[in-house]
Amino acid sequence: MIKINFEVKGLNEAINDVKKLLYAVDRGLVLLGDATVEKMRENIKKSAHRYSSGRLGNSIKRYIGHTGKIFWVGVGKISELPKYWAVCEWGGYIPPANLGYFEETGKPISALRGKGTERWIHTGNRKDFLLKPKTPIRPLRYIFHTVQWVRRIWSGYWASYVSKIQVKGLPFLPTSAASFGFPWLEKSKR
Amino acid sequence: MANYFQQARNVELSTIYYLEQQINASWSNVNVVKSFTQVYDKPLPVVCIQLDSAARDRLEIGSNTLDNTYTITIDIFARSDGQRIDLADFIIDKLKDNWVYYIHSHKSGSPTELERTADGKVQLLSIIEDRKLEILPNPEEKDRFRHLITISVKKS
Repeated sequence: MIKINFEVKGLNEAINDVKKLLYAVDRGLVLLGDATVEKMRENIKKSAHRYSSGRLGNSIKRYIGHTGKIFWVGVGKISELPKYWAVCEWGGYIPPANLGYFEETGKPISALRGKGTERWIHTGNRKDFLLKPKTPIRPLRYIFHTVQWVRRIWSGYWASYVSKIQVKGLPFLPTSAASFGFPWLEKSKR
Repeated sequence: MANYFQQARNVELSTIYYLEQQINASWSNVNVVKSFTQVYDKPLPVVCIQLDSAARDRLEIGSNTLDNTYTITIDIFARSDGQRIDLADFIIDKLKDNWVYYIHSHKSGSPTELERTADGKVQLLSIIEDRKLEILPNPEEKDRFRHLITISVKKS
């Protein structure tokens, strides 16, 4: 009977590398989540025509969690966004007509239709002015543009770092989690 | 100012021209517009076609040529849910074929009219979104049956 003793070299090292990689990707995802919130807020801000209270932007937050063993990062929760989030994204009318006033001029002025930049304060008070929006809100596409940005950044991240992966123990395992840095994200956090 | 329009504007106008012809050939009373606010001045159904953004990458490392891709949005405002689905399906079916790219310019002596010269094709790269839009629980009449198609195209 022939007895063969063999030893697998480098397997533990490879497993450790996988663990490091997963940790680095998780950390990268969290950073990307933070940067996505900033980017989405920036997209809303630059598209706003009137002075904005920042309510929509401030309601966009980053969430993390686990579903089973899968770690996830999410940005924005519909239940926590103001109900007009979709109108801002895709455009349209915000019904119904409501009672309130413009911050400086008070009364709505028909000559300023589509040109005014003041903020409308909704009060619901019958002593204030009735505003019936006559011009639809144009689509800001703040979510769409942010998603496009995330896709570009995430694919760039893989394109930059996958080429640096060295073969060691098992094929195509990265040797160092340190190679999975996010210089552009670290910069945005400063 | 150049007499001829630039590529981004030509891509947008060529797409509008192509879809308008296709829709008019098979549908009646569908308004095709190129500005969001015009939608609310026209009777339903309305199709609004707009150039949303452009991405410009180098064709290859060291090249001075840019590889431009354009994102175009097609907003459908229908009279019913069935019409919304039919119109969206019809448009998607037409988009799968590439369409003629025209260089546009103002007609001499009549600046409101456009002249077109065919110069290649507009190529569909991908359909990014094809979805029903629900913007509010009780929307205005125009916003009730909305659909959005977002595509990525380039001049070939």
